[in-house]
Amino acid sequence: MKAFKKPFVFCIIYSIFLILLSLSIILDAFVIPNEISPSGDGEILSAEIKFTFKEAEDTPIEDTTSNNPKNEETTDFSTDETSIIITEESIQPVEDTTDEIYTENDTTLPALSDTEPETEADISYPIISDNEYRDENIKITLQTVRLHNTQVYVADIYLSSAQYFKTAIAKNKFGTNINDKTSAIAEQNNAILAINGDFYGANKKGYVIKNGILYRDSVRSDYKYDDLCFMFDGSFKIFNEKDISARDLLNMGVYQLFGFGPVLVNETEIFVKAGEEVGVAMSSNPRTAVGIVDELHYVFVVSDGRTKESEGLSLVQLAEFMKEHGCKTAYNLDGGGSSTMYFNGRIVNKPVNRGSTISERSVSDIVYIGY
Amino acid sequence: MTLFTSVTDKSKRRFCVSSVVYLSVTVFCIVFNAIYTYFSYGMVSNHMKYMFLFPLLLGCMPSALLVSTKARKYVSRITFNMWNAGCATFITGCTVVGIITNSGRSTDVFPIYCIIGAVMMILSLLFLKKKA
Repeated sequence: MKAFKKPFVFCIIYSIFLILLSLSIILDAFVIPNEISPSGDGEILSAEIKFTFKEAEDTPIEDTTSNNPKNEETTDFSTDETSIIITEESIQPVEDTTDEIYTENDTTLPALSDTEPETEADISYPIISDNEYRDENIKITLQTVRLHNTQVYVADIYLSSAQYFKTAIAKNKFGTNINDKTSAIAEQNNAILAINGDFYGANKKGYVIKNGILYRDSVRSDYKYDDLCFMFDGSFKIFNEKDISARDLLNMGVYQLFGFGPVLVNETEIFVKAGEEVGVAMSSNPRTAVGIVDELHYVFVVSDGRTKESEGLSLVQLAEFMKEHGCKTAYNLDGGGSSTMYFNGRIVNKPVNRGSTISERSVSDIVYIGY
Repeated sequence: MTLFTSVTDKSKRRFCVSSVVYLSVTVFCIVFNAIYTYFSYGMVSNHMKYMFLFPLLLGCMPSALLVSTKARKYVSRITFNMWNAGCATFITGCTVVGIITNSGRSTDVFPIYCIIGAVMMILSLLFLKKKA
């Protein structure tokens, strides 16, 4: 009891206690990997046995360029910071600077033939270039647009089946603080196109369904944001975790679930309010978003930010862009330093980490297109 | 008589110093939040934003009140130390939760700090002097 009377002895003892307590909490939140068994007492709950994937009714992948009005016309995304001017013209790709980035990851890509094959039978798949991938089941076109003084990377995706829309977790282990770079996870899974996911590992609560497997069924703490569900039929649906259980979602045919938010576009209407940002943030940031344009037609969008060359987008700006791009539903994924797009074996954007340093951050999961 | 005056002055001086220290901590909390928010790309944590209320309401104001009243005679050294420990626990809790939430993560550790801080404060009241 004497120690409690002495101011400095008590102060030192209690300070050590507080420091150790806080240190353990911070290490647990940021550093210590914690592998967790999937939900259901270790039993893996999977929806795959009940549902079949939606497949395109006609020829899997045709040259759909002519069917896409966005590619046919030209849209001029004005560099004016306060407005976007959409004209009859489609998105104008800016000069492709991807070759300058991450040369260590460069892979030799087969060049496209100068003479286009005249018939479908003459085409030898896959067709791979810096901004295109095409085979019998997957067609991806990558474009770079300049918007609000920000570099925005847009991947237009056509699939013949919903099964090619996949997610992967870092090191194939589920848990918190188990992270790896987007490019590394993408390479391990032979992804053609990949973006960072919802960083499920940053939180201890919140539904996690990846590739039809239920990993976590505890309701997220900040359920003011809805979840995006990618169904087995390839459609997008919006749910709130307080309204439905994870098992019910699985039984309804949810193949992928994204628990970040907010919803940017829902039923073709902009769903995010001006000033509303993730974590009550207000500034422009690097962003990652996913959207559905039509049946088995998706869009992955990543914007750079926090640099002089690319300021970044606010959520409203991103929502406006997704809507103008024709998205019926669009959802914001983890942004900031996590925002990364990987295509054909290399990173196409300039992810920022630790301030404005150009480097790739490790994340807990990715969304990818591949086999 | 001389001894009584000396003790009273010492006690008054202690709470004077305490209120000044708590006022400084309040200002520090406001500045810390401003700087942290500036480098967090707009991310704001409510815990860190309102952290300054703990040293202000639980430290500065009670100390200033005790300076101006005779109630300070009932405050023992243990009470004083434990009350300060309770305040420190709340402030540390706000800082830790603020750091975690500003990184985009969610955490539910704040109740732990609240319970510890509240226990320390309740205990401190149990050690009040019964006689001045």
